[in-house]
Amino acid sequence: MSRVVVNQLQHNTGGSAPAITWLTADGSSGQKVKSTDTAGTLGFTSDDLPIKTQDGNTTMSFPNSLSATGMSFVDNGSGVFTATAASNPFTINSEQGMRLCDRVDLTTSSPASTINLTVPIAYTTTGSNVLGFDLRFYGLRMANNSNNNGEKIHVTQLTQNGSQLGSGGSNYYTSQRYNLQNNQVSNTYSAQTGTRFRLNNNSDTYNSSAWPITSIFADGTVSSARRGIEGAYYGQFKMYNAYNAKTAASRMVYTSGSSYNDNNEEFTAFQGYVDSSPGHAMGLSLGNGSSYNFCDGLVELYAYFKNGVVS
Amino acid sequence: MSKLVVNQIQYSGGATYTLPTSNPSANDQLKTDGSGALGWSGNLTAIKNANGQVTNMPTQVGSNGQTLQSNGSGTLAYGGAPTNPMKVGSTYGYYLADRYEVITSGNTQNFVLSAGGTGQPSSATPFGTNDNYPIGYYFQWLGLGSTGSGNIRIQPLAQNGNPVSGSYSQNAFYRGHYNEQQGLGNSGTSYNEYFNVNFTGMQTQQGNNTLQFTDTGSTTRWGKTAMGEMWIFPGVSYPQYNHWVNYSNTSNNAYKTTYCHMWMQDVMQSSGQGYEYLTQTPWQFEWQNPSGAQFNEGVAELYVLMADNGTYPG
Repeated sequence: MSRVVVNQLQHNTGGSAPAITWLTADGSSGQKVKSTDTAGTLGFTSDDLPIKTQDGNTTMSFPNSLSATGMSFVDNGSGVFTATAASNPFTINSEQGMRLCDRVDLTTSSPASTINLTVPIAYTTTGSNVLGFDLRFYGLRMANNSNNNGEKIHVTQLTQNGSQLGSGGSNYYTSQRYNLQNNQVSNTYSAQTGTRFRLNNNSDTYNSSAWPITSIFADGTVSSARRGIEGAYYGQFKMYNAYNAKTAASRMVYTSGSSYNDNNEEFTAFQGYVDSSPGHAMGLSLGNGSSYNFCDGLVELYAYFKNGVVS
Repeated sequence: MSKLVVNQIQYSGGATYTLPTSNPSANDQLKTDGSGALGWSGNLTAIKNANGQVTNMPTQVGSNGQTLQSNGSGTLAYGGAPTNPMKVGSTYGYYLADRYEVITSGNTQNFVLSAGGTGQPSSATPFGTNDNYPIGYYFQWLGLGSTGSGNIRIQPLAQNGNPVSGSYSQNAFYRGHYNEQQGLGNSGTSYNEYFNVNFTGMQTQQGNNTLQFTDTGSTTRWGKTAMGEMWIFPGVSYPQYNHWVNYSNTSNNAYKTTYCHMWMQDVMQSSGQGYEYLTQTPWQFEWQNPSGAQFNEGVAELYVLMADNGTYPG
């Protein structure tokens, strides 16, 4: 093996190139070669090079330790980062409260006769992780052009892919409905068939052919023909997500068909079972008896999970 | 000192390296350009993982408070810090303070939900320890079942764990409520220190001790759990609360839903038990099953609204 023994190496550029002083001792495995000074004296180092922005102007300094998960790197404006947890108002210690799962804004989206809302896969794909649901709807209006007394909105349990949970033929019992206007109790406990929880007894949601069949939420026109919010539903359907197999916890809803017909202000409660719909629901669907489009309003699905399921 | 002045050096039969032509900075590392030209490197602007995936650093430094985020194309970029949806400016909305998940934590006759979070109220908590700060509470409960029938109630407790009320005469509530069975006419007084959640029995042993949440059997069962919501203004003077609860009782035909508003008696009546007040500010609440049955199913949560000068986590 040929070998030249020399202390320094220098590029032949007429003296402007540094005279690189060669290594005088071996390093450890994995070490890198660096210049220990501005003259090109070489030595070994275990240090990594600092990380800078691409313009080379700012060194990015990361925290000394990262002892927690889910932290974000927050800059102080000079490239110095601190690890900061995003504040979540519905998480306390190791416990998690309600989470928004799905939302349909009918003031900006196309009218639809069925509104499906499901638990995101990112949250969980296991139905028994979902303890319950809270479905809230505001200004929900249907686009039918006639006085169809008996147009009813209903809730159907869904699987996570949006299909109906079970095949029907089930039974549930509707608790008595309470009517605000008449201070009276109506309806009985007769069994309802199908997988639908019918939210109202006789509310009309749209009673004039002069009223629009699309959203009027942003319509500034002052006109009796724009009284679309009359007849709109607002309410809440809260449900314990018990296993459906001839056993189910109470479902409760407060729903209203608004001022066009005060008799439609009513509470409704359910209990009973859906015996041919096995498993836990992973979503809820809002529909109506005549498949008219929902053309206005907002629907949100919140869910409650077992601790540790969602972060 | 011996010095070899040469443009290139070569391992015998191997690669040829061209020596650097510029001076380094201290701690610069020697690098190659891949073609054998040696040079100096003082920093990195990209990092590589074990699989060779390269992530580029941002072009320029960001502003104070911004966070590093991925841009979807392998380069980090600055963006806004994650925001708290229940905070605007320096004011906060309601926060989860405590939670009892009966279905996984186990049966219990009573459980406590505290404004201080799951830690002991007397110790440091995410919400501090100043009991003047909570100005509103919101409960929600879902699928709350028990091993036997009977009323359920909520006992307000002070931070030290003692009931906030000393005697019935000092803590008379007027209960105005209506339910779907009896309408608005059913109201009355209730001279006690509890928030009575339901007027009649909570549930029936339709399923015995079977948990509905996991019951895969074929026996027909009625819903036997309760769900509801409650809002509390915990003022020492004239505290009031409002709630609805839905539950079942001995059969499928009565009192399943109750809407209830309770407040201090003097708000309703010109005379009564005198000026009514709580002896201390509530800080925690014990859910009780006074019949001796145990809660065996469901979940209950306590959300808190603190004063603007209160302490919030994050």
